[in-house]
Amino acid sequence: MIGYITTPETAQAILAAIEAAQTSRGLPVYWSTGSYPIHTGEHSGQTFLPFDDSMLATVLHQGMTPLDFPEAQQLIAMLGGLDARVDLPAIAIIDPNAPTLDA
Amino acid sequence: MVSSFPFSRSFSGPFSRPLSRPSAFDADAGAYIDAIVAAGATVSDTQRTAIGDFYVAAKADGYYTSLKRLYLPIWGVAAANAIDMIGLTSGTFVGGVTHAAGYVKGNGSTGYFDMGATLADIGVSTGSASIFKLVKSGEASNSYSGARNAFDHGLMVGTASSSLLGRCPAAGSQFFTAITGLSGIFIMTQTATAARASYRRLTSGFVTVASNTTSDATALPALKPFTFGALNTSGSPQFFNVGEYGLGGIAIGLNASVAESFSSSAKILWETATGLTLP
Repeated sequence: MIGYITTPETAQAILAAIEAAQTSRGLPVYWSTGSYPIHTGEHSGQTFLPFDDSMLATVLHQGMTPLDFPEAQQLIAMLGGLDARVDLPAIAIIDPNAPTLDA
Repeated sequence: MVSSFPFSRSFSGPFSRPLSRPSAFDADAGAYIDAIVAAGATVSDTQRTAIGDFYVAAKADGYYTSLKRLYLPIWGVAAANAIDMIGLTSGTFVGGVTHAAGYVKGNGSTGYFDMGATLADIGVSTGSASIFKLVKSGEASNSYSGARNAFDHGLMVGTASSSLLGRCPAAGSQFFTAITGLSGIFIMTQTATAARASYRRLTSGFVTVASNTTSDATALPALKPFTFGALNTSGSPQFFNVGEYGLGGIAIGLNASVAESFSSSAKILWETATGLTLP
């Protein structure tokens, strides 16, 4: 998974900014990167923000992708730019203590 | 001087009349189309007609008011795909979700759709609840939609190990039934405290996959169901899945007759609007 590893507080601020970019335009919050606690591995305790190229190419509204929003460029810069993204194994965000599903 | 001959249909221009007046387009259908176009969707005449026909059929067949959330994520635009056909509310696509022509697809690691309202918020409660989704293809094991709480009570439908799982509300009264293939329109319903069933529609027809009358009055969880891509487990997404989903939502309990009628209309809507074919 391609994205950013950051603190829970920074992740919440990023999500709030993404929401504000939509609501400030009179729109509902129809899209978010989401934030995912990292449960295992060297980054355990931090938070993962998915930001892969596929997500960045998503057509969000009226033909605009995330990179067409000025706020997105600012947020990406805050996180260190696109080159600061890392590749985190998907298993890192799976909570080992989450209940199984008995089927 | 007034002609003694009536105007005939062979005349062109202002004196011609159509064979019949076109009926007014369904207002709710029109409102939905306006909303998704404002969000960036492109709607063809064929799609417009298919949408209008669905609303008309749903109202004529008497189940329209039972539908509480209905999503048709076929537009290739996140904002348009997030709009509910019934109340024009918006849910939220979270993480990695591909918005393709005709469906959305989770990435199996972060992507899902949060409809943004609890079951209670939309008037769905124990004794009258349904969850449904149209799976075009690509579904894997442990692919669930819906929500469950810490006590493992929930409203869920999904597939695991070549079986269809349906739960409403407690694990003790759920279904886990072997099926062939993991595609189609799946519906899980509880229509009375002691009556629940799971249904499936394919192009080949409609079947009741399982049913029981195990008494279960457990309250449904106060959680927001995830319609596509993952299961809401006590507020966190779990079981991220990679299926291709063309329609989904929540309703007040759809019994077998209504589920059959609804799924037939849903199939026609999705196929006509996308040009794709339900397995």
